[in-house]
Amino acid sequence: MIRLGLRLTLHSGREAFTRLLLTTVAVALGVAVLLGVFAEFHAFQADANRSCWECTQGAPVPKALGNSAPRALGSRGELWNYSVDYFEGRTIERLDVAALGPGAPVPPGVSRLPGPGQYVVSPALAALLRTVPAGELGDRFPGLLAGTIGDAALSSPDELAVYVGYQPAALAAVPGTQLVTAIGTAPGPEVFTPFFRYAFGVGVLAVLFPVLILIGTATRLAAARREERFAALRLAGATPRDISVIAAVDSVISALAGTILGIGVFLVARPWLAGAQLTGTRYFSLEVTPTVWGYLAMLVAVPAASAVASLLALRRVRISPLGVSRRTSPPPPSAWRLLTLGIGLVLFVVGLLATTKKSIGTPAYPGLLIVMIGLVIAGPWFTATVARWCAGVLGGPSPLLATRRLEDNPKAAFRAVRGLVLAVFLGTIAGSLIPTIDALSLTPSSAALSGVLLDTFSLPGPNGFGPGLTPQDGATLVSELRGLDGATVYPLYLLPQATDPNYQGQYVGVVSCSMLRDLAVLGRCAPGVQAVQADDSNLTYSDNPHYSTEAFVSPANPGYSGRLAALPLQAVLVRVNGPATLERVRTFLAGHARPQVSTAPGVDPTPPRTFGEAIAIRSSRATVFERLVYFAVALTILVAGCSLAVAIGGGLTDRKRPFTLLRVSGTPVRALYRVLLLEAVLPLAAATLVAAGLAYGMSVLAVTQMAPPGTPVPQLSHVYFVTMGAGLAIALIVIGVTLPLLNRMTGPDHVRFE
Amino acid sequence: MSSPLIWARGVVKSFGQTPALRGADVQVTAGEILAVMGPSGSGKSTLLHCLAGIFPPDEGEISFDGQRLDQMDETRRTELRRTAFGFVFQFGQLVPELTAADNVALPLLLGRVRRKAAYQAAGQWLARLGLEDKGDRRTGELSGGEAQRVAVARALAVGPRVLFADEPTGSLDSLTGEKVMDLLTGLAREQGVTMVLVTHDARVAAYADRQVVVRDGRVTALETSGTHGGLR
Amino acid sequence: MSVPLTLLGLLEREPSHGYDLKRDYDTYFGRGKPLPYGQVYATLARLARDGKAVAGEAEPGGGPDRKRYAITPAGAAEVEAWLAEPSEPEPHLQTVLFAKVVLALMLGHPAEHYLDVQRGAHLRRMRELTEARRAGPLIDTLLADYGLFHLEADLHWIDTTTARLGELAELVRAS
Repeated sequence: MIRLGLRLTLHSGREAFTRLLLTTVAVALGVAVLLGVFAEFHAFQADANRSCWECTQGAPVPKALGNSAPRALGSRGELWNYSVDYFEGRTIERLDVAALGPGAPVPPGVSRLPGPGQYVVSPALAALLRTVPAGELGDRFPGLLAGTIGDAALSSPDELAVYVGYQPAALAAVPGTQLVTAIGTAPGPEVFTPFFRYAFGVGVLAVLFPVLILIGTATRLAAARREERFAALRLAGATPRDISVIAAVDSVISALAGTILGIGVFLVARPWLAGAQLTGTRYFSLEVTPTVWGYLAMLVAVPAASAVASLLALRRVRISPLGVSRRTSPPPPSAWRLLTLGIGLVLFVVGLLATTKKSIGTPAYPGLLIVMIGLVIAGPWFTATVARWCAGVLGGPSPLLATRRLEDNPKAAFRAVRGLVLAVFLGTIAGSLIPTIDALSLTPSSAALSGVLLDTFSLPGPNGFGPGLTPQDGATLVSELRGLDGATVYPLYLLPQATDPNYQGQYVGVVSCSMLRDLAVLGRCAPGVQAVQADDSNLTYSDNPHYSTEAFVSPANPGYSGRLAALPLQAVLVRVNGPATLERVRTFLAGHARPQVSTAPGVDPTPPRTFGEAIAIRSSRATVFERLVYFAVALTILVAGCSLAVAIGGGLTDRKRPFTLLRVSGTPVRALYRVLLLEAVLPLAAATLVAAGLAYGMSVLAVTQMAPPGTPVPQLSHVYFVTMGAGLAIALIVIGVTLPLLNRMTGPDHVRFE
Repeated sequence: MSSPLIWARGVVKSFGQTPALRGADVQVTAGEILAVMGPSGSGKSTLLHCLAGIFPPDEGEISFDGQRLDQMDETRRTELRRTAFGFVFQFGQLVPELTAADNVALPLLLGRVRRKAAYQAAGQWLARLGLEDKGDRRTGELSGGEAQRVAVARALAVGPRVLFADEPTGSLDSLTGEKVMDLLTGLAREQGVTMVLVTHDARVAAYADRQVVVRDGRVTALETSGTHGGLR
Repeated sequence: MSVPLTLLGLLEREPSHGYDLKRDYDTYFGRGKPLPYGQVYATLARLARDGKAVAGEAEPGGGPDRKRYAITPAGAAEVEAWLAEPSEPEPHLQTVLFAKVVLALMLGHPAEHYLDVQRGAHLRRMRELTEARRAGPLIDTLLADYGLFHLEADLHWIDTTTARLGELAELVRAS
């Protein structure tokens, strides 16, 4: 029986073979995409499970021990000071390390610790060091370049990391140094992983469902054509079980062929995938693989699933041998279908209204989900309504045929574009919300300060504010910074009383009014005043550029009449005229200013960076989400486009005879092409417009409710339009490909077979 | 005898290895109803398809109203079929999701007749065929006989010169078939439409003015001799 | 069912005795009702009187059945004309048509052509009946329907027989 099935599948004539081919290609695409998703996830997991040497925690080094410190520290372990630096928007992971004796634990990627006056770098950093002037980068690391850090320590081939060797005495004096006897092997804290896991899960489902639907639809279509042959087989004595076997063989062959083809496609595309940075990091190419298990799973699961799908589809297929002679139309979709959509919208709005600054109102999430379900339920109603409206507006025979068919069975018509509609909805929500989230950090004032670097020397802690730099050190630093070409320096001074743990006053810092004249967004002084006391804690300590760049000085601030140069230095703002200057400033600060240290939970030290870089970092996370969403959306569109083609093919089969006879009676085939186009384009356009409009409206509502006033109306980025346009173009191309099929199926040869 | 409206000489047509027509000759005078009979597989439907310009013959000449169909390209033949010919088939020619009125109006709309005028004409033709209240019914809701009558209305609505009918009553029971043939031939004669009727059913062929038989790909005319008689 | 013409047709094959003719008639056309000897000889005598057949010398052995009859040219012409001319289309024509077909095959005449001509006649009659049906009252319609259906049955037989002519010819030649 299986052999018979094979024969039937492979030798059933050109039309059947074409169908087999199309199903194979569709399955191949789905499998390639699934493998890609698995590969990315595997790489992501590999990275997440990597031992986090950066997370190593040790015992604090007691301070003020002077030169006797090294002996008091013993000879086991090492001194460890981990910090983060920036270069041109990229993070540099920096480990300052001083071995206390032989047998000090060695961090991954090297065979031994760098000695004092030595440093080792990751390959990417080594490449940078070769090309970038030392004043901008290399001078940050004291000593000589002594080697390379291996991949074991890195997440990505692009990662910048450096281990700097010190004398224990020198390192012990630096705040934040710890005594470490063992290097952490546990994986890093799971900040993203659960979310990313959900995202990947959603991604897999988003691809899996359309692929299964595609296979199911193709199988149903194939079954409809096979019914005639099966009836003959049954008459010849084949049992229903035999028929099932034959049908299963048919789908298994195309699924297996498709899986193998898909694996091939994936292997070809893998290098591109490895470099694609879909989650924001470029993983090691080695890790971007679904592993043997992934391939095996595909080879087993996809044919098995398609065999099951074909058996299920066979059960549901009931084709009368006489064709559609006495079929009555299903009742038209009622307006009640809009109810679910309405409920979802109401929930969403209620959730928005209940939103506080801290969190989004809980009804909003189910509201969003119910809106999506409601879209699918209301789809046929939209299709029927648009068809009715178009029938009234468009004259002509092709619109007549198309709109009548849509009105007759809008459910079937909508089923073909369901996937596309949901993809458009999700894509529009993402496309309009994410740029807004980006824009939340970007305000006019943060934009104005985007080229201004901030380095803070005094952080708030349990004992009041840190002391900052002494007036002498501070003055030296400021004048040396001013010596750098292209840098304009604005010092921010600390009110001495602010370092008192019991200080309750409102003002912390002192700023000169000349700075405020230059950086006008931060405020203005009363006329005639030279310097004012101000609460500049937002500026110096807040992580969110949205808040930190707000004006904090007004004419109401009390003046300060003392000598500024006698005050400790709290922080500096440095306006740079370009990236080279920025890096030179940072290099200078790395060598001459104490590194930051955290003195209280929740107050993380940040390396010197511009407000523009701060904004970019916040928005890069959102960009990753955006990219993932677009990827899933583009996939869904691609696969749903194939579903559309299969559905159109099925519709052609239903009307083969009337269309053939229409052509015989003199209807030009172009008129029938127009019918097919309209039948596909009308529901597609209607549903897409409604979905996009709805999603955009909901985004606007969300932004109006949640974002601070003055946030601009959500704009859809050009990436959005490109993705949507490409997806819909693919759908149209797919529709176009079915037109020659129409030509062949309704050719004059077919009029002979009564 | 006036020159025939349609004539065919030496028509040969094969499908793959199977020859359907091996040199068929036939003539149809304007206004007459010709029945083409023959057993199944004899090629009578193929003859009709060639005469109607549905596909060109492999060899031979076919002429309609002085124009050579065997030398025309597909576009011209499609145009001719749309404007000058009407077709009635055994089944399956009505578009299922259209109403009866839509189906009849369709060829008119294809001929760029304005919608109002097209539906008006459709209504009139449906009335002529006794279907005045069935205009809004979908095809699936009509009985076989009603559907065939709609097909007849559609074929005649464009005002064709020739009507080609291929087993028009093949799917119908005899009484319904009679009604359809009565209407079909009656209206054709009334409108002066020439008709080529392919059938294996003698009682259907009896509606024609003249019969020919297709056997083994060739056409034989049947002699008519003897006296005429009444009902007796 | 014309017995004289049938016997004459049988006679045209070769000169035969009366009992040969009766035996052949019973075999092909009798269908359970054998022809009485008396009718055979009476018919033969009448045919001889009309000049369509001629009796040969009585052979020794005596008795009426020892005479051998032969067909005359006039008789052959009459058979020819009878075969060629279509019978009036009316129901229950089978026996006549049947006889004609078999005889035509025996004699090597073009049976197919005769069948075609008969078909034409039938169709013409059906046309007339169809015309008449259209115009007249219902009772006429019923009568016409009766005629049409039976004529159609005849035509079916004619069609089928035409398809079987090859086989039939074999059968007749073999006997």
